[in-house]
Amino acid sequence: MDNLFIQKTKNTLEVKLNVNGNFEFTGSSFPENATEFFTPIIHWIKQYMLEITGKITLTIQFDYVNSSSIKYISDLIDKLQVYHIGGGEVEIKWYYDENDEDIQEMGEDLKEDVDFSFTLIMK
Amino acid sequence: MLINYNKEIYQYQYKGIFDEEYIIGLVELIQNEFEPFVNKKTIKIINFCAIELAQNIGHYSISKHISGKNGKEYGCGTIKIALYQDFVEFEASNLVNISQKEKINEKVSFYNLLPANELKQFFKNKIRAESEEDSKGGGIGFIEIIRKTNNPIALKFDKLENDIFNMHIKLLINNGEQNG
Repeated sequence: MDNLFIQKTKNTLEVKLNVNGNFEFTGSSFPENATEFFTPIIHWIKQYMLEITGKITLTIQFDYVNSSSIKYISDLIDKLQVYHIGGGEVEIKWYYDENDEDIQEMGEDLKEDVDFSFTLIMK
Repeated sequence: MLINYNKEIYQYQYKGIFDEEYIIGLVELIQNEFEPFVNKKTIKIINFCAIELAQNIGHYSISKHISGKNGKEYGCGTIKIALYQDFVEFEASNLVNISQKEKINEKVSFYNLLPANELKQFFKNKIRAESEEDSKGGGIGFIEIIRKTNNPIALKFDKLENDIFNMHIKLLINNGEQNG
């Protein structure tokens, strides 16, 4: 597998998926077509979980996320929970700005449904 | 909430195609024009509502045009954002067919009645469910608008010809502490 890098734009995230298990999502996400944007990312991560099976550390720093993106992020975190239940090691670091209650609350909501390490960190 | 329309500070209106470039520009405009008057939390809610409403129009309006920017087809409609001393008012409109009207009316009426804790649980269930066939997202935009604004969505449908309706959506966002 090769690393996957997607450059940031005004309405889509910077995505760094490294075969060493370090994954990063940074920026704003309101793509015109969320399915088109997130499908290759989810596919890559599924392949990693099948082929490499190493520890996953996902670092998230969102500025803004639209409703379509929230669904895909939630879907990804569900897949990480399944991976964790199957013995895979997972950690999420969820960063939020001091004044950003939306992103903080989103992280708290998503954290409720997983039992791997999920840390909310104020920037 | 008592509505005081007497102190309008700023108003923005647009009528036309809701393509990707327009929506990106709308976010930048909101940041530039509203930032002096509202706090960061309110800006984020304004951005969220603007993007959700604008993308809904772009995806689902039955009045379509081809974008001059990328040659793709997008929906057309109108949006108005008015900033008053104590609140921000959104109004958006676009054409829908009778099937869309009935689905949207049913959903929004249901969401508007749910207490906050039940709406949150409904939202969590919805993001895990399969997306609806004709949905380009998770079907959670309206839910999130109500949750973030803490106000119901007002809907009105004007019947036109041949089971086509002009759908009007109105939202209110309470204006938090102003920047100063």
